[in-house]
Amino acid sequence: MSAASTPVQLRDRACIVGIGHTEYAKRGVFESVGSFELAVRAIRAACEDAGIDPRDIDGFTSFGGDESTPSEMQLALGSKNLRYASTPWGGGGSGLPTAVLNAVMAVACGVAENVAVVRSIVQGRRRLGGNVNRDEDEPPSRGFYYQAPFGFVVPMAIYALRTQRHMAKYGTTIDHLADVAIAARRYSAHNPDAVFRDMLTREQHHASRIVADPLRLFDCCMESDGAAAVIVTSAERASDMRARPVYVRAVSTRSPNRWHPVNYTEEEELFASSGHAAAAEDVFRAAGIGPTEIDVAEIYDGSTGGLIMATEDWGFCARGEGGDYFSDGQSALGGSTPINTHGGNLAEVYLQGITHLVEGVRQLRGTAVNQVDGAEVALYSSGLGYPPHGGILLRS
Amino acid sequence: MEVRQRDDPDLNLPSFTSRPGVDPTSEGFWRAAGEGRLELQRCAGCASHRFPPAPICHVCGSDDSTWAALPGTGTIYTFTWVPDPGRRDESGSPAWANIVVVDLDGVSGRGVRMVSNLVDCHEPGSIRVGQSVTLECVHLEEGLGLPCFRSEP
Repeated sequence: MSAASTPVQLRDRACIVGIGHTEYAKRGVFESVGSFELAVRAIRAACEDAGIDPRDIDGFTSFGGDESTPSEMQLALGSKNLRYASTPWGGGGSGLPTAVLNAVMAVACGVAENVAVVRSIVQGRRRLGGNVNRDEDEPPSRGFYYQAPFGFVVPMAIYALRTQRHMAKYGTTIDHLADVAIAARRYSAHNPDAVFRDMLTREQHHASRIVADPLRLFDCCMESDGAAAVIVTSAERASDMRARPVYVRAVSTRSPNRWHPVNYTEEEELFASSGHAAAAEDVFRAAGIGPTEIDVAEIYDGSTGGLIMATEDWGFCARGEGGDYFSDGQSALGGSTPINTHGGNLAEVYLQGITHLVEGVRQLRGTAVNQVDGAEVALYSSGLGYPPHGGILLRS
Repeated sequence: MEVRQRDDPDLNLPSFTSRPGVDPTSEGFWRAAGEGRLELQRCAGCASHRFPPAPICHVCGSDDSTWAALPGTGTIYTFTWVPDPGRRDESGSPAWANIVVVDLDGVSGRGVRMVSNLVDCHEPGSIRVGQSVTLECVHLEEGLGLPCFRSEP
């Protein structure tokens, strides 16, 4: 494969120098505040963390159809110049790697100096997990053109169909799924920011209502409100900042042709997967770092089943053994690679992955509540969702 | 082939559907189902079937294709059950809607799996990965139909 297809030239060129977030809450709590105000507050907190004046933020990136617009954020923050703003084309909740890649490219080539990557969500009125068809008398969106007429209109069915296949093919069980949800609560119990901090048992998991068989309520990411942001700047400028810089070692948004969330022509071994094996290959090649050298992984967990598949895609265990990885405690502190040390979308908050990125930075600064001793390399991965998806490798 | 009526009480069809999107590329798929057939585009250049419908062949790039009927049999590749609050039994419990992925027989090229419903299966436990299924089309409106499946031959 040619060098151009793996962005080695971006290696260590940009750093995350600030992280910030709002309070997190169950869906609807911040409806009257609104996602825009939450976004501004998260960016200001990230600027304070970095020791950067918000007036010096000159770029914004986001993803997932964020409703906060760059021009309004510029006004609210007093940013002197807006030099760069973008969101990915497609990707949905899997868009964070593209949003970070956009920020990294912008600062690496001098288009902008300090780019805020932000995601803000309030779900009081608009529920991201609800029916994708707003009006059943209208044709479906192109993404569900050959699915919605058969009632495939709830996002959780995307996870359910692949999880069912994973169970049939590899012997993954409902207990495995429960253990993934329990592992998230074991971490979130220590996280004062987390929305769900109570411990969970297999029995409670099994008794929760079916959302899309085999997935139950406790297999699903939560519906919540909040915002988080990180500040990306060039490696040169990062050395003068307040916090120890965290380098973006590699990013890839490589998404293979034969993997699509709802149009299933993919090869057999790709079906029961999150589709991230190709991005993993590119991230590892661009970084010169392999899965055994990753100290901690923060992986978008839209569902327990999706997290099992992504864990396999990144090579933390063999394909089909993702359930055992969680049941055997390999995702816990002291396990082979701890995963979602903040509690993730299942237990901390659902902000489509940006809080996972924030946690990755904390781990490399040594300031996480569930700290992995001596962590030097952290992975962010998007989850089972819409391409372009991918991963971000951070190093201290 | 016989086409079943949408309001047939024996059929398990979700209440939360949308009408199909009909455009020049997709229309043949829904029209064939309205006449009881499962048809996919077949490339005139390399003979590959393709799904979802597309204006060009993803294998050889040809613009030319014809709608070609498949045998209408296949295998359940995966499935899910979703509560359907729009349909309730006498006790008020929601019905169970199924969504299945069928690996279609008779496809040339890289294989096709399509989303559908197994209309004669009503309860969780009645569908399993690997089971054989047969086409059972359901009438919509204006000559359009849904290519669904049933578990009995």
